Amino acid sequence: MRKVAVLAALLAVGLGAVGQVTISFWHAMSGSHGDVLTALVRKFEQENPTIKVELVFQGGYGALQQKLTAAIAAKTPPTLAQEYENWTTQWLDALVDLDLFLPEDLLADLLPQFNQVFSGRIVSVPFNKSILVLYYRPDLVPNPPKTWAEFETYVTRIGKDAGKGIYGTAFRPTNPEIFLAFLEQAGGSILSPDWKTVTINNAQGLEAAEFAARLAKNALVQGAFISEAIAKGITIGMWVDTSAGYPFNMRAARTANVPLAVAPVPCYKNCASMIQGTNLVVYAPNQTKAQIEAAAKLIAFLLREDNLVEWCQKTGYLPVRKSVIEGKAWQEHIAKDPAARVMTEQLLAGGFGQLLHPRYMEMRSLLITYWELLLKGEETPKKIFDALAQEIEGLLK
Amino acid sequence: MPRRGLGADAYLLRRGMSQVLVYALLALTAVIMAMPFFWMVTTSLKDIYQALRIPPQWIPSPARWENYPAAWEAAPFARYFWNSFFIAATTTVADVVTSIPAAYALAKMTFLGQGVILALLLGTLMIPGQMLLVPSFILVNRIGWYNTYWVLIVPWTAGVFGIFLLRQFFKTIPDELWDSARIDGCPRLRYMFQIAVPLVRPGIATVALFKFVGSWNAFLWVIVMTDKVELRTVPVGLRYFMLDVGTDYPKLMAAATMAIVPVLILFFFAQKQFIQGIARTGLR
Repeated sequence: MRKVAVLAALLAVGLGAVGQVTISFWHAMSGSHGDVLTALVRKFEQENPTIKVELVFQGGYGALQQKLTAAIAAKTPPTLAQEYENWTTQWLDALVDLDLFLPEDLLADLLPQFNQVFSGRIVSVPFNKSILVLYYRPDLVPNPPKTWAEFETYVTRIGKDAGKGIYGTAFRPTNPEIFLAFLEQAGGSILSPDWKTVTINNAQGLEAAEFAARLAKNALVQGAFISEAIAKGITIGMWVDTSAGYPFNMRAARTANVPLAVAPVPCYKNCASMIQGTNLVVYAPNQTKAQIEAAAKLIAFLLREDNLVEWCQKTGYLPVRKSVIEGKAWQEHIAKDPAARVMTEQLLAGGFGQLLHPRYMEMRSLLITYWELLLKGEETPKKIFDALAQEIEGLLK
Repeated sequence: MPRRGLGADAYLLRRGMSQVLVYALLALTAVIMAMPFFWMVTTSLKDIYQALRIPPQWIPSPARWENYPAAWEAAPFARYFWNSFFIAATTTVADVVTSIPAAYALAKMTFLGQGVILALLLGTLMIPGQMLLVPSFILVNRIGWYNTYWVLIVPWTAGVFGIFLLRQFFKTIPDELWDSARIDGCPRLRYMFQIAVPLVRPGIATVALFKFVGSWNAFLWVIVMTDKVELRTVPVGLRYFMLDVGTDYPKLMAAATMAIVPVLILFFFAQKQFIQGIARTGLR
C-alpha cells in the first residue's frame, strides 16, 4: 500500500514537472516598486502553478541596459524584461512579435498614446508609465498657468535670486524630455514624419528653444533631483517633472514645510506632455515556445484590471489601458486623489512617447548635451540648435 | 647665556606655535575627512525628513535604530555579506600570490621582452572596463561560468595594479642583497619569499587593501555576470534603496554603514603597513 502511495506521489510530481515552465524576468524596480512587482508575480505563480518566474532585479536602469546589451550579443537574453523604447530599437530582431501571443482585445485596449509600433511590429507593451506634469507652489502661484505666456509671466515675476535661493522654475540637463514636450507643443519635432529631414531647428523648434532659454534665465539648473533642492529649502515657483516623482516631491515639500500641488503642463499650440517609463518585451533567442507563451501570459496578467490598478495605486504609475482608466476602480481612486486625476487627464489630453527611430538613443545623448548648453545660455538658441541639427544629420547619414 | 636662553625660548615658542598650527590643520583635515562618515552614520538614524533638511540636523532626534533592521530585511543582506566577504577575501589572497612573483620578475630579473611585457600590462590599465564587458560576458557564457562563483573570482585573481605597485617596491631593494644571498647558495625562489617579500610587506598590505576594497565595492561585474540572488554582493543590495525618481537616504545610509564595517576592520588591522606603503609609493 505504501509502495503504491509513493509511486502515485512520484507520478504526480513527474507529471507536474513535465508541464513546468521557468521564465526569467529582468527588471529595474527597486524599493517599494520592487516589492509590489514581486507580490504580483508571486500571485501570478499561484494562479499558474506550472509557471515559475525567476524575477531578477538588475540594479537599476543603467545596469539593466548594459546587461541586456551583453546578453543579447551573447544570445542569452532573459525571457522577459523592462526596457525603454530607445533600447528596443537597438535589438528589434531579438524580440518576439507580441501580437502573435497576446489577446487582440488587450492590445486594442492599450492607449494609443503609448505608441508601441516599431517598424510595423508590436514588440513591446507599456508597463510602468508616468507623464510630465507641472508641480507648483500654491503660495507663490495661486492659479497654475494654463499657457506658455502665463507660465513665463509667473517665472519672470518670481525671478531668480541665487543668493536667497529663489527661482521661478527648475530644469535638469539630464532630462531633455521637458524640452521635447515644449517642442511638441510648438508643433515641432526632431525629424520630419518620413524621418528623412532634421526639423529640430526649424521655426517651431526655435520657438520652443527660445521659450526654454527665456525660462532658464530664472531657473535653477542642476543635475540632482528637484525634490532634493526643495527639501533643502530652495524656493522654486513651479517646474515640469515626471508624475513618478510625485511621492518624492511631496515628501520634500513636507520636509521644507511648503505647500506643493500638481497641475497639467501649460499648453501652447496643443497640450502635449511626454510619457516616460519603460515597457515589457519578450525575447526570442534561447527561449522555447512554452516560455514565450508563459511570458505573454504574465504580461496579460500584469495588465489585467485588478492587477494594473493595484500596481498603479501602489507605485504612482499610470494605467496603460483605456478600459482600466475608465473602470470603476480607477475612477474611484482618482476621485479620492486629485493629483492622480491630474496625471490621468494629462496622459489622456496630450501624452506622447519617444521617437521610435533606430538612432534615437544617440539623438537623445546629443539632445542632453545641447539642452544643457541651452540652459546655460552661453550661446543663442539658434546657434545651439543649428549645431544640434547638424549633428543629428550626421547620425542619419 | 641669557641671550642664548632668550633665543632658545623664542625658538621653542615658535616651534610650539608651528606645532599647534600643524595639529590644528591636521585636526581640521581629519574633521573634513570624517564628515562624510559622520553624515552617513547620523543619516542612517534619521527619518527621511530629517535626512533631507537644510541646514542639516547633525544629531538625529529621536534616533531611528529601526532603519537598520528595515534596511537589513529589504534585501538578503546576510547572503550578500557572506558573498562579498568570500569573494573579496579569495581574490585578495589570489591577487597577492600572483602579483608577487610577477612583480619580482619584472623588477629584479632580466629577460627578453621584459619592457614590452611591462608596457603591455600597463596598457591594459588604459582600457575602460565597460568596453570589455560585452566580450567578457560572451566568453563567460561560452565557458559555462555565468552564474557561478568562478566568474566572480577567477578573472580577478591577478591584477596589473598589484603587479606594478609591488614591482616598484621590489625595485627599492638593493641588488647587493641578492648577490650576497647567491654567494651563500640561496636559490632565487627562497630569496624571493624569505628575504625580498618580508621587505615589501607594506606594499603587500597596500595591494591587499586596495584589492579587498575594490572587490568589496564591485557592482557592474557582479550584476552582469550573475542572476542568482545567492551569488550577489553588498553593492547590489544598496541599489534596492535607489529609485529612478529619488533615494531612500536613511535606509541607504544604514545599509552603507553596515557595508563599510568589514572594510574598516581590515583597515584597522592593516593600517600601519598600509600607511607605510602609501608613504613609500607616493600614492594618494
